This record gives sequence, structure tokens and C-alpha cells, in this order.
Amino acid sequence: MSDHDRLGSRPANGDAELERAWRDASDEQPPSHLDAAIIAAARKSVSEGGKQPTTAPARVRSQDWLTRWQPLAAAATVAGLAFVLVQMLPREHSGRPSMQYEESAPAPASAEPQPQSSSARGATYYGQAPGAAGDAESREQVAVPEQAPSQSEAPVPPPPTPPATTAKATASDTAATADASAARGETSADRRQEVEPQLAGRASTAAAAAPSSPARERELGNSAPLDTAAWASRIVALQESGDVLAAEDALRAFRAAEPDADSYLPDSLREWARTVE
Amino acid sequence: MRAYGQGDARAFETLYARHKGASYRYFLRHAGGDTATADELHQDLWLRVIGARERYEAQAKFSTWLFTLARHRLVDHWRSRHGISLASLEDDAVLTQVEDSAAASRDVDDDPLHASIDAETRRRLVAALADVPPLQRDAFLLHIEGGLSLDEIASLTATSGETVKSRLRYAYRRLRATLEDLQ
Repeated sequence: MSDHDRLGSRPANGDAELERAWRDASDEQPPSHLDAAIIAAARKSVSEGGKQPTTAPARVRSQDWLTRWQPLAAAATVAGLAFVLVQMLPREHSGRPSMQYEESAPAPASAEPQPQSSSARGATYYGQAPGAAGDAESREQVAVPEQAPSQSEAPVPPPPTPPATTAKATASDTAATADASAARGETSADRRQEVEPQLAGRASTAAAAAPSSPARERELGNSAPLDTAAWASRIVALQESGDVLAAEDALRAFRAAEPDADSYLPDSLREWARTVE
Repeated sequence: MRAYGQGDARAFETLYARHKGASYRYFLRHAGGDTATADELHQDLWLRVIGARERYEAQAKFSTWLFTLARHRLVDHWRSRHGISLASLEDDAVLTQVEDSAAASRDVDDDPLHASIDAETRRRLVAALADVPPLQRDAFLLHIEGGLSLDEIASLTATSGETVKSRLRYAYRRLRATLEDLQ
């Protein structure tokens, strides 16, 4: 304030008195420890040749520390997150095949033939009309799933449909089979007695065929007797699940393979079968 | 400051002793008497001065440069603590209203300041300045504590000289009214 007098313009007359009064009233000074810290920082800056003051109080040093380490901490955090994400990705991929294997594993243990454990495979099965006049490739597609449960060295390839669909279809197939069996009563039991020896014989034949070869499988497929119970159960399952179109297709394929296909159906489906051409 | 920039530590001590009170009170008044805030701002200001030792170029008075740094630090403080800035606190309507109401009643020649300043007067003056809007208070402090001229304040605050004069007039009237009440 030593140069107040040389100020060019004054806001109003009489301000000199007010300024004097203000200076008398306002005479606070910074605390001595602050003065000492600032002067020490100034001296250290000179002694260190232009470096930033490092003798400042702890608060200032903590701010500098944060400024210096913040980018490194941020980079380390990003790297850690990236590592965790990379570690998580393979687990997701590796989990799917095991889930598919677990879901498809019980199917061979079932007493029902393999085509009933997979809706997609069943669609291929019936869509290709096994036993009907067709090429050898279509018969091979039919024969391989039937032999799969008995081939210990050849894992069953995962079905093309999602696992959830497969599991759902398997459950519905089981329920539908049970319902159909109940509906058929003794007739169904009699037919099952007829079918079971065929299945047992086929399993033993397939077991004896190991190690398998494509030619052998094709031969087995061509010579395999028609599984009428599986056909019928599949149609019942499709009908029960509400997939009428698929059931009709399956029935047509069944008829193409077995002229007396309608007789294998349960009584509850006979009337519906008459409407299918 | 140039001597300090060339390595003379004692020059800084002289510089600091000359300006430390003004810069400290500048922060103290803006902080409403909060000494902890004033200490923090004062320390940061002078650490910036030290950090700029080798970059300093004498383009104006040291006090102008110092209070430019001080004002920037104060604006940063308000922005970080309260989300506001000096510019957002400008209220020309209030300023105009106060000036109009006081224009006819104030006789500048009738100076009431003759008595000595006692402790109560000090307290009332400081309290009166705390009630002054920030922009007017800032102009007053830059003028009376920093010793800056109207043109220097106008340049520092990026406003016109008339605006600075208006702000100063408002602050002076408020303080003078306080002193009159004490008579």
C-alpha cells in the first residue's frame, strides 16, 4: 500500500480516510510457521537449481504424490481389468462344450433310441425318411445316431440346436412317451415287447461292429430293421408338444417307411392320422 | 523477483516480507475470515511464485502479477469448493439499485471518520466487507490491499475501468455507511 498515493483515479472523495481506517482494522499476517515453510521452500528451490519446491508442508507433498502416481495407478487398474476380462472369456467358451456333453450324455443311457433325444436329429431322421427309397447318405444319417450309444470310442457329436432346446425336447419326449404308453395300454406294452428284442439285438450288433468304419456304419444302417416304436413315440411327442406340422411330416415319413404306420400309433392319434395325407 | 530468479534466496525473503500481508488478507477477506482456507490459498500462491522463479518475466509490477496469480487461485478455489466463479457472482442489478438509493443521500465531503479505530470498529468493518458482493469486494481488496490502480484492476479482471470504478464506489459506500453507524 505504499503506492496508494499514485493511484490515478479515486472512487470518491474522502476515501483516504476510509483506507486509513481499513488499514488500521485489517492488519492480519500469515502465521509464522507458514512463513517459515514458504521461505524454506524458496531456499530449497534455489539450492536445487530450479526444481519445484519440495520442502513444502505435507499437504502439498501429498498432492504432488497423487499427481505423480495417479496415471500409474489408473494404468494399473485398466491393465488389471483387462486381465480379468481375458481370464473370464476362455471360461465362457470352454464351458459350453462341457454343458453340451453333460446334456447329451444321459441320452445314450436312455432305453429309448438315440433319435428321440434330439429334436434336431429327430427332424433329420424323419425328414430323410429312413428305409424309403433314397440315397445312401440319408440312410447314413439315420444309422449313425442309432449306433452312437453303443460306440464307446466315438463321442456323439453335439446337436446343432441350442442345449436348452435339446434338454426341453428330451424332457418333452420322455413325458410324451410316457403319456403315449399310458394311452396305448396293453397294446403299447405288447409292441414294446416286440421292439425291445430288436433294440437289444441291434445294440449287440453295433457293439460287435467296433471299431466302426463308414462302410460298416452304412451297412448297418441299410440292414437295420425299422424302429416302429421310435417312429410312433416321436410322432406322439411332436403331437403332444403342439408341433403339429412336424408331427404330420414325421407321420408321412413313417408311412413312407412303413405302409402300416397308422397301426403303430396310439388310438388317440388314429383319428388325427386319418386327416394327414 | 528477477534477483530471486537468478538464485538470490534473500531477495525472495525481502519480496515475501513486503507482500505477504496483502496477499494473506486478500484471501482471508474473501474466505470470510476462515484462516485455514486463507493459509491454504496463501501457501499455494507463494509456492506458485517459487515454481515460476525461472519463468518470471517482468512485464508489469510484481504486485500486479502476484495478485493475478492470487485471483486465479481464488477462482479455482471457489470453483472447486462451491462450483461458482467470480464472474457468476456479478449482479449488476443489485449494484445499480444500491448506487441509486445512496446517490442523493451521501455527501462525500461530510466525512465521519475522525475518531480512532477501536476493536469494535475493526470488527464491524471486516463484517461489512464480508457482506459486500464478491466482485465489489474483490475490486476493493485488489485496490486497497494489492495497491492496484483502476486500470490494473480492469486489466486483471477483464472489465472496463468504469465497471471497476462502479464496483469500488459501491464497496466504499457500504464501508462508509458502516463507519457512520459507529459514530
